[in-house]
Amino acid sequence: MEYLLDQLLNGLSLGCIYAFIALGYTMVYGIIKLINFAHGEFFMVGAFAGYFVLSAAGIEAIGLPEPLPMILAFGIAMLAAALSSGVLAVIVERLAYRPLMGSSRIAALLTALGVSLFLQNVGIQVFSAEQRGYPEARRYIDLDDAADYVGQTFPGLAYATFTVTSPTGKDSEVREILAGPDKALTADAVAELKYKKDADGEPVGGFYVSSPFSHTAKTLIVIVSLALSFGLLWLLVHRTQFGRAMRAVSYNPEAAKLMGIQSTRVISMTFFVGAFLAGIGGIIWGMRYGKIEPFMGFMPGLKAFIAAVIGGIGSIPGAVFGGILLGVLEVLIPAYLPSEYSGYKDAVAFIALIAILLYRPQGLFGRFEGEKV
Amino acid sequence: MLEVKDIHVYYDAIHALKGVSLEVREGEIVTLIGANGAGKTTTLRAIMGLNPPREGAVVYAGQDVAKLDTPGRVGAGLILCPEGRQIFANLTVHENLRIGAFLRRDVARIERDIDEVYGFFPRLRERDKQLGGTLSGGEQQMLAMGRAMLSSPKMLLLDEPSMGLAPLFVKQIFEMIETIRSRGTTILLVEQNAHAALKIADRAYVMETGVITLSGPAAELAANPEVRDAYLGV
Ligand SMILES: Nc1ncnc2c1ncn2[C@@H]1O[C@H](COP(=O)(O)OP(=O)(O)O)[C@@H](O)[C@H]1O
Ligand SMILES: [Mg+2]
Repeated sequence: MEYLLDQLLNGLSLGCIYAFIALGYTMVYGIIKLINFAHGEFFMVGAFAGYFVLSAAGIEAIGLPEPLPMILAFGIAMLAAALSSGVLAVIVERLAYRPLMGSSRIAALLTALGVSLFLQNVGIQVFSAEQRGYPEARRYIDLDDAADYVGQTFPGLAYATFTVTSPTGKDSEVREILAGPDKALTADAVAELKYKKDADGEPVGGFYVSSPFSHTAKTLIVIVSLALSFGLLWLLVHRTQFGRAMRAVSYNPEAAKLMGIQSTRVISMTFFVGAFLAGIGGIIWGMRYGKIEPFMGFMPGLKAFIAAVIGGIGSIPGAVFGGILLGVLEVLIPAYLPSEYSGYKDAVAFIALIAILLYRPQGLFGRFEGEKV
Repeated sequence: MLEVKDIHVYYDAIHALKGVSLEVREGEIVTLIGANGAGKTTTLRAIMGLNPPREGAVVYAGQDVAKLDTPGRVGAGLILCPEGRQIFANLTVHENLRIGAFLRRDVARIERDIDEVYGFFPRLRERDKQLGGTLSGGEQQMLAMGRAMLSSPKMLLLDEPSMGLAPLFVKQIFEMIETIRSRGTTILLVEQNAHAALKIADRAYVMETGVITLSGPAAELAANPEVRDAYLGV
């Protein structure tokens, strides 16, 4: 029973991330009928933006009471992730998709695939292909206060970072572990730290204690973020002038023009909002699964696309439902199959896709677009 | 207020408008009548910039509008209530009216104006929260007119507002057109119901296969034997 509950929560949080990505797929499809295969890369860029913000020290050093620095750092990183994805999407739409408006669907689809590959390769150039461990939230302890912590153990790690110059003349950051869950902080380690200097001669000055979110807390963060985002998105779509314009353009672009709506602006904004959500998905993925790399957008992007189709592409509640359903199935089914089948985890999504295309091609929440223009 | 000067519009190889000129003065109702396929809709679309003319000019409020895109023209008060209504089926009746006011800045007055439209067309008020796609043809036409009114038109182009409607609805629609004019909106009315159109119009143009063949005061055209023969069915 407890096993089932655990697996259910795991599936739920995976599904929430799929939902974050699926929302952008479905919104963009809804408005310009384009399957934006580069959407997974927006998610990837969001994850990296969050990575860099969380890695940059600063917030921990302000000296706010715990756990505020952690929450603040995470909040800022999330915003940075969302904004980076959103801005990237606006640029991609402007440069790659808008010039194709009015051309065939297949041309747009191939362009989207091309943009996806292009962004993956830019990712390798800029971030390098190596996998990176996602930074845990951490707090900073000044050497002056270090005496108070001598003799303690830490649920995360206590470590100092400093830069060293390698023989080739390149600076790189090294991390020295001082203490951990089963190794208490010693007075010697603290004393030694006083003499450590960065490559530029600056004394190290203090150390970090990583304070990881617990597994349950992470699951909770994922679910609450999705619920909040979905609620706000619903308000945006149904209660604002932009939302009305978005639905109008999606239904009949020409009639929307006759209302004075600049459809290019609405489309651009739709890309922004969709990618904004994917960026949040990206940082949540990093936090939840701990590893990121430039190809990370491919599989989750594909799964999220399948989720959007299952939910009924173009439907916002459908994307959320499809994402969660797929995540739960993908975790639960292999969990109850004999272990030799665990390698077939990814097959679940494709089987679900085939089933839905056979029995309900418009998706669970989709409608056949009868008289729609 | 609106002057169409010798415009030519093509659909690929089809030469749909072959030098059309017409004029609508401020405060007038002018009607454009003609058989199916004559080019009436194309004329209105050209005025809105949906099918920009290859030659000729559209002058509105003293300005050549060639530089303005369609939303820009809407912003200048040039509003088209299009053929076939083009209601947003996925928006509620209320939202359809709100979106008509998309460019308006006087947000406080929008709800009041919606209420006024509901006063004219009580059936719309009853269906306030229903999706536009669930309305009958007549109700959709009322909604399309209401939506156009919410745009605060200075110059309103109406494309066959009575098409396919029951006589009771037709009457309401024509009353509405007169009301809109009485509030200072200039109107260019395209109609297949030449009889009713000539009755409320000040002046009229008759179009045949892409050219204007007759024009003059509406009463005069209504008495013209050719017009009576071809369009009034008498
Ligand atoms: N989208 C289009 N593509 C090609 N030809 C068109 C198109 N729309 C209209 N036409 C042609 O242009 C001519 C004028 O049509 P239209 O302006 O719709 O006439 P009306 O509104 O007077 O019935 C017709 O011959 C029609 O077949
Ligand atoms: Mg027509």
